[in-house]
Order: sequence, then C-alpha cells, then structure tokens
Amino acid sequence: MAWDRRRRRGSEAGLIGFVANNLALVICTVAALAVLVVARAQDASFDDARGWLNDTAAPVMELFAEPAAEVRRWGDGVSSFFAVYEENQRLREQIEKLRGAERELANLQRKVMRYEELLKIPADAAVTSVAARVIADASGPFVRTVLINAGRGEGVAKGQAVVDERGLLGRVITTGNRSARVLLLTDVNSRIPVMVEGANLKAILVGDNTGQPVLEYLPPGSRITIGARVITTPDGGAFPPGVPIGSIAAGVRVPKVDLFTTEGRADYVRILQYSAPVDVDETEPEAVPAGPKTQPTSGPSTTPTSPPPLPQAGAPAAAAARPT
Amino acid sequence: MLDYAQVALLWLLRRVWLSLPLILTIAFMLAMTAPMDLLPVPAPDIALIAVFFWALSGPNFLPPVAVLVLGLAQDFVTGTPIGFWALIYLLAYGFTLSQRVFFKGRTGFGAWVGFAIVAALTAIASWLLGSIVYTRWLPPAQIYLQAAVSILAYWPVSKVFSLMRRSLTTARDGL
Repeated sequence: MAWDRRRRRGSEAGLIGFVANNLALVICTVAALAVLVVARAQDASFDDARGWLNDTAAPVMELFAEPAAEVRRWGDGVSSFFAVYEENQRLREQIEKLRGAERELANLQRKVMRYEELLKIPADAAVTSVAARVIADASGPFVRTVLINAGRGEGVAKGQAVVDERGLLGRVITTGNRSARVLLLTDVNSRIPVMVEGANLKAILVGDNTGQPVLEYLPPGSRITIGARVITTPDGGAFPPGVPIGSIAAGVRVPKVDLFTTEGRADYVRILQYSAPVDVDETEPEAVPAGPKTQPTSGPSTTPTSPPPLPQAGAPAAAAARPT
Repeated sequence: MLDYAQVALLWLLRRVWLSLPLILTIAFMLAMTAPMDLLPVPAPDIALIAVFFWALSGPNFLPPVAVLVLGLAQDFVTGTPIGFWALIYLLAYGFTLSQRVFFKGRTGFGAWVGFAIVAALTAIASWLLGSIVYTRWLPPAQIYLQAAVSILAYWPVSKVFSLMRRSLTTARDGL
C-alpha cells in the first residue's frame, strides 16, 4: 500500500513520470480520442451499436419513466391547483373563441373541398403514424435528444418526423428494434426545411442548443412578420406538409422561432410515416433550360442555337410570391 | 471440480463487488435520464462527480478502463459523438490524479473546492472540444449552468459515494 502510494505520487517527477506511472490512463485517453475521431469521420459507424444498446437499455429506462411521469403529474397538479380559478376563466373564454372558429373551419373545409374538386388537385399522400412513449430525455448542454419506445419493429425509420399534440418535436436519427432516438429541433445538429406561412417563404430551421431555433437561408430582402406561423414543407421528402412547428419570435435580431412544443414535456408522441409522392416521367422531358434569372427580357432568347424557351408556369409565380 | 466452480464464482463476485462504483454510477446516470423535467436547469453530471470522487479517494475502485467505459456509456445514453465524454472524463480523471497531493484534507470542504475547480475546467474543456467536434461555437451558458448544478450536487452525491467506499473497503478483507 505504501509502495503503491509512493508510485501514485510520481506526479512530482514531472509529466513524463506521471505518464509512465499511469500508462493505463494514457492508453485509455488515446483510445477515446481515436474513437472520437473515427466517430466524427464516419457518422454512421456506430449507428448499429447505438441502436442495439438503446434496445438493451430501453427496459431499464421504461422502468424509470413510469414513476418519473407520476412525479411530473404530481408536480403539475400542485402548480395548477393554485391557479385553478384563473385557469377556469381562461378556458371558458377560449371555448367561446374556439366555437366561433370551429364554425368557420367547417365552412372553409367545405369550400376548399369544392375548389379542390373543381381544380382536380390530387389528394395529399397518406400519412400513417405510430404512437410511442418518451422513455428517456437525454437532453444536456451538448445534445438535445429523447429516446422513444418504438423502433424498426413498429416501422419507425431514420428521418421520420416525430410530433406531439402541439406540433413537430424532431426527427428520428437512430433506430433499434424496439427503440429509437429522436433529434429535437433545438439540437445544434438539427436542420429542417420549413415554410413561413403567409409570406410563403422557405427557409431552413437550424437548432443552436437554445430554446429557440434560428431561421437560416431566407431569401435576401425577405420580410417576415412577428407571430407568423412556421410549418413543415415536403421539400426533401421527409416531412408531410403543414405540420405546425412554431411562430416567429419577437425582439430578436436574427429570425428565431418560438416552438409550439415544450421541450422535456413530451410524454406520448406520434411518428409520422410519410413518403413524398415522386413521379418519374417515362418519356424524356423536353429540353427546357432554366429560365433567365438575371433580366427577364420580353423578346426571344438571345442564344441562337437553342429554341426559344417555353414560358415556365412556376418560375414567374414563384418570383412574384417573394416580396422584396 | 466443485472447487473450481466455487473459486470462479468467488472471483466473479469479487469482480462485481469491485465494479460496484462503475455499475451504480451507470445506473444513476440512466435514472437521471427519466423524463421528469421538474427544474428548469440541466441535470447534474453524476459521472463527473464519480470520476472526481474516485480519482481522489480510491482510484483502484474506478481505474482508467472503468472511466473509459463510463464515458462511453454517457456517450451512448446522451447521444453525443462516441468518445466525447470518454475523453473529457479521462482528462478530468488524469488532472485530478495529478493534483491529488494538492487537494488537502481530501474530504469535506477541501474536496468540494477541488471539485469546483475540476468542474469549471471540465466545462471549459468540454465547451472547446464540443465546438471543435461540431465545428461551430456552442452557446456556453447551458454548459456552465450544468457545471454549477454539478458543483451543488457534489455534496450529497459524494456522501453516497463515501458510504459506498466505506462498505467496499471494509468488506474487501472479508472477500
């Protein structure tokens, strides 16, 4: 024991002495560094191991999740007990408001259905969903993820959108047989194609480990109003269109989004299984070069070799939709 | 034949007994991920408390390999790139080990101050490493907040580890 202690105090002999006396530590540190480099270089290299380990740990986490939910319900009960009167008043007012909105909604639904029939708009691709429960919330300062108790066995696949009753929560990043990990919208690695309602602006919602993700890649000069709703777009083919995400936050320099979902409060979630309809034309499409972006000239194209481009229906409409 | 089986069983029991700090820390870590969300602050870093405590008062119970396993477990549980927490914890372990003689008293207030220093340095190191790994500056507020929560949590958690250490050291002679 005394010899051991003397050996441990080898740090006094400088760095080399410390390294020599703690060879196991040095080897382990080098191994950890090597693993980290490999994991970063090839992101998918540990996916299977992660999935398997999550599956293994899932029963233990489910064991903890049930009493945790009970504690949370209890905590919620205590805090809402003191505000029960105000809550009641607020709910009454909300019911009145929603009754009016409901009637309007029914009218609008009928109208939209008629217009769609008239215009022969194809129906949206069907979205099926799987329900699951959040069994672990591993959100820390570096990563914002949750673990759910449904996996490949239930048809959950990488990239699928995860929602709760209020809106989009995140997307699936790794799957096991009976568990999956969900990357939340606030995670620094989260990138989601979104649309700002009203202005019809498309952007990428980028997480930055704070509660409010940022809108990036907005068209230059675009104007957005505070409070405008942000929803998913089917761009990229991962998410069904129109899932509510949040609203544009006020009082910040960069466009940030207040999420509808509250992090850490999700209990039961749904995983949306959506496959974007993709039509592949059998026939060779006519050679239509991309419309001239710089100056829309009224005359025919100046390039003599190609035939005059057909007017593209989408391009001017899209250009007009962008306010400058 | 029976003797061999008994020896093997005893050996196994002894190994399990000696890895109790590791096993219990991992169990603690899993329990901390339960979706409770009672306080609006990040959960304390139990593994870092364990790493500091055992490096200071019994590295034999948590050797470097166990720290590596603990870090990898943390990486798998939280979803950070594999090796991230393993590297951070091993650096914190090495630092604590190298400064062992300076932490006077080893228990009580002295150890707490020592942990506060290690937790602050770990927060800075993990912020820098995280920024390198994710190739963008991470917002540091949450990282330092977690360090502060861990420092507060050190007192009660280290008491549990002290109890564990006492029972481990007294029972070791018996095994």
